[in-house]
Amino acid sequence: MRAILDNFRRILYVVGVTELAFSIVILVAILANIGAQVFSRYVLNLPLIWVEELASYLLIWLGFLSAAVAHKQRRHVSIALLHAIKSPPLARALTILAEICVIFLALVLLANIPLAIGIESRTTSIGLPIDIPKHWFFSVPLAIGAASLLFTSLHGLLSALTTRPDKITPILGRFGDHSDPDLERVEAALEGRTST
Amino acid sequence: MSLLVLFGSFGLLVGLQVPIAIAMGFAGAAYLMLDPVFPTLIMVQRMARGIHSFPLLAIPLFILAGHLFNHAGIASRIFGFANALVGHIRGGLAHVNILASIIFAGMSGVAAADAAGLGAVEIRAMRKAGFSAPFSAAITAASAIIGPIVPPSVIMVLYAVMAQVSIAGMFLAGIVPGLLMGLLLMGTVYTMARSGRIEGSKQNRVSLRELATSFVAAGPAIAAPVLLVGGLLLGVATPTELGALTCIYAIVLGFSYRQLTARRLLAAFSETITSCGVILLLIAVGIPFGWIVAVNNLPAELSSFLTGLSDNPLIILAMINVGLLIAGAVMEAAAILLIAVPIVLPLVQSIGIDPVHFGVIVVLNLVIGVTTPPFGMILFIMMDIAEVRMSELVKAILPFYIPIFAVLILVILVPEITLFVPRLLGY
Repeated sequence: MRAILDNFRRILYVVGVTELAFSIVILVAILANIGAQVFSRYVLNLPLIWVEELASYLLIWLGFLSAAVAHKQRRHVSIALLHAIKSPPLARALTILAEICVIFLALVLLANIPLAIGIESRTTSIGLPIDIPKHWFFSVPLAIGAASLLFTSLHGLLSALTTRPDKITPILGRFGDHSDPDLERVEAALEGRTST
Repeated sequence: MSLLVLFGSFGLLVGLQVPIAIAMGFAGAAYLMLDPVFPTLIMVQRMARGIHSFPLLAIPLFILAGHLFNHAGIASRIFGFANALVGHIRGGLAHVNILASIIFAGMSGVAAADAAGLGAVEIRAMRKAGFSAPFSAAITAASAIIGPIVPPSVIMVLYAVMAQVSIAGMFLAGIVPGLLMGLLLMGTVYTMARSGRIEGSKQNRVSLRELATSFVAAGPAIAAPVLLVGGLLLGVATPTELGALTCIYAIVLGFSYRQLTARRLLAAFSETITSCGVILLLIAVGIPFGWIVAVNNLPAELSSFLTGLSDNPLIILAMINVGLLIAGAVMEAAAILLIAVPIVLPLVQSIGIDPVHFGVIVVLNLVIGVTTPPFGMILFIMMDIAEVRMSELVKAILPFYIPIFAVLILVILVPEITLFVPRLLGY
């Protein structure tokens, strides 16, 4: 069981890094799109009609992919009402409950995706240079996000059942350099300005 | 189908530490499964379409701007300028803390980003200057709430989209209340310093030359909020476009300061993705939740209930305020907004209250919530940075609730405080 869970976790880690990379690419694309819109309007005097539509479709992709990333980092906000009760069985029960709720929600969403795709595929994008069926902007990102939540929580559920709660760590951590460039500089600036 | 299923399962799951977005989604899905009329397909359709909005794009962009500025090495420059300007006033670095927060609030859209980024710098400097850890953390927490009031503000974008009012109008409406809160906080610090209730060393007054030098060093950073507000006032770009321009400006500034490395850029973007994941999922599940509330006629029932108690708009507003403050103390701000706005906005408009004015009141209530025990998020960030206990922090922050609530009451009683600037510019 331990080996299966470890392999499952490795796969989810790779999926999570991929989701994060795609999310960053989408965010950069949104930034570039809107920046290009302003540039084109003021410098070229040529408003780009497709920018708003494309950017708002990208937001849907960003929303569901980033939600999956945040779930793998265990960063979705919860209220630690029972935090003061340091009981491992309670912590395990709460974790199991949270994972079951995610699994239930993801299954409800995934069960309805085929029907939603059927409806949305009847219409296409309006302003984009090529006509793309709308399910690629609505149901597909939601399905990918829901599937990712489902598998992450299945792993979380199995981990909670087999591992001590304090030994469970998020699948994804933080990326990049989080050191603060300002701390030492402020202290240096304050030197010589204080008197007691 | 009774709304008891919706609110009961949501409240129970939140109480059992299920993430708020998941609890909201679960409650909505469970309601629709038990309802004989509406299919669960609604959940899928409303969730995706709920975040299909160009104005909502301002949210990731202003979150990104906050993280980029945090990694661009501007905090020390802003802090240095604020220190040169007000550091000599009685209360010293506590005033600097508030002024720096006001300036940073004009660049970042989230209180938590202000508290975590600039807050770490402020607390460290105050501790070194002899202020106690609880007081340093308390003034940092109190001043961080100016962030979501002064533009840009993620929570104001969300309110504007939900209430279908102008984002630019909301941003402009927050300027005076934000500045007023800063002034009253500084007044409180001054009073405390005069009465000897604040320890810590005082600052020497700087020469005009030093002040000018610090201004030049901080100038490009201070220009960001000036350009943003200027852009709003002149109407040259939409708030979403201004969000994108602010991000591009932060990147250029960070590289020109030689602080923004590729790894820091990755940190800023990945932190933004996480923040987006949290808030966008909340919005996605909040939309069907709000829809269920609306189709069950709850807004009308609440309206007739409250107007039955009193027909005085101020008393109704006071009751809504008490509800929002209580909710803010135990729940995440965006979640409250998603639930409360569809319920109370029709009532508020029916008694003649301007939705922009009401928006600022809602935002004030919710940001007060993030500094209120037992679950105020900023308090937890401060406890972590300053290494203080909750009881110490709450005791130290108590005096600052006076100016904070004074601003709330003033904003409620005098709508012109919020509406003057947007009306002047035709919003």
